[in-house]
Amino acid sequence: MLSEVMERSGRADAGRLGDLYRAHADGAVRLAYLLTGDRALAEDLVQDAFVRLAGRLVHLRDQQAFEAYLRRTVVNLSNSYFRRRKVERAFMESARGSLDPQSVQRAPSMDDREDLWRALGRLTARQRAAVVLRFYEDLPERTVAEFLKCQPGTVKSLVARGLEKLRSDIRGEDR
Amino acid sequence: MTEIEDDVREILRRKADEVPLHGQVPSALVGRARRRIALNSVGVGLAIIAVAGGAFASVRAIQQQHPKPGTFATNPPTVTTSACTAGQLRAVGSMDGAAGSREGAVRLTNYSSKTCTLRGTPAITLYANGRAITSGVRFSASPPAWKANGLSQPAGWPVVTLAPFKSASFRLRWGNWCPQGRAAPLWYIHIGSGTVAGNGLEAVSPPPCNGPGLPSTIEVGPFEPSK
Repeated sequence: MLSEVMERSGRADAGRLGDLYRAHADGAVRLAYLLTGDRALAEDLVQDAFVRLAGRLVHLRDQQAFEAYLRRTVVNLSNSYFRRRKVERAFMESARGSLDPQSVQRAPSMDDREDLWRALGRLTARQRAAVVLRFYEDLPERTVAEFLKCQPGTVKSLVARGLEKLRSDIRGEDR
Repeated sequence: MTEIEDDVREILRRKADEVPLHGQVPSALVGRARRRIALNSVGVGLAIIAVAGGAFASVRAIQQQHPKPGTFATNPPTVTTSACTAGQLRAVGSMDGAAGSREGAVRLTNYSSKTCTLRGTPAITLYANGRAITSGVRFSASPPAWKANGLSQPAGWPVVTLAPFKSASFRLRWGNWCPQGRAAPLWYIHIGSGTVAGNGLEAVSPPPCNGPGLPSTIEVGPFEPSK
């Protein structure tokens, strides 16, 4: 009997999740792509986010709340991804000695905008998240601070430093 | 607004527009979400059973302390250790990859304040997509780890007594999961009075498909004291 109830509620929640996916996946994948710069990774992160939220649908009453929750989960997952990658990279580099300089040579720039996109990829994960949430999602500093679990002043400084780094990186690529 | 801010807005908007639209829900997502929902539902179910079990036990205890008028107290209640209920236990399992199979153990810990006992070999049900897998899996018994490792029989075995926060375990060996690449199932362990979710087993990467068309094999050992 328990399994019947489980199955029925499972089917209903899975159906509801499908509706939510159709309504919100595009925005979430775009945000994840801007945060990570990798489309396949963005798709994976958004799937992970939906799976996480699937277990909490029963507590969800408000559609708007879902969107905010989803966005927050995507930001958290992308931050966790970068944290893990940092650890892996540190390990690989220590195991390999130093990177072959040829392997880090950059492709020639297509145009200024592509330079800027590559420069965005060189920001720290938190700087990039702050810049994307401010300038793509147009969220106020206070909301970005909630997403990144920091003070609004920290967001201000993350954005300012991020923009400064973008400026200097572009100037560097122009040279 | 500075020029760099405009440029950043512009590149973000342009890059976002490159992402294709998602009309269809990926089938992998549906499967994973159903598993997550099922796991949560079982958790809630077990919590309800635990609360109901606790309430029932309290009512019985009160009735024993205050017999109804006109009835005579019989023998004083004897202190016996009862069989563990699902509500008292939490199961965590892991299996490592051998060449063609996965081998490991499930550890059941008594998180209640009462000592209880486990005995025998548990039954296991696998779930996929919210349904119990009823065919294509062959279960068989395997010896306890102490016997397999040539150690002496633990005191009291085959009964395993679990004081609060003590654990028992049983061995698992899993082979031939076909077709190749089939998603990992959820594991539920039946212990007579109920079912506990085998946490962690859903994350075990399934064994390779060595015999297409043949059932998956799962060897289960009896309960034994856990170190």
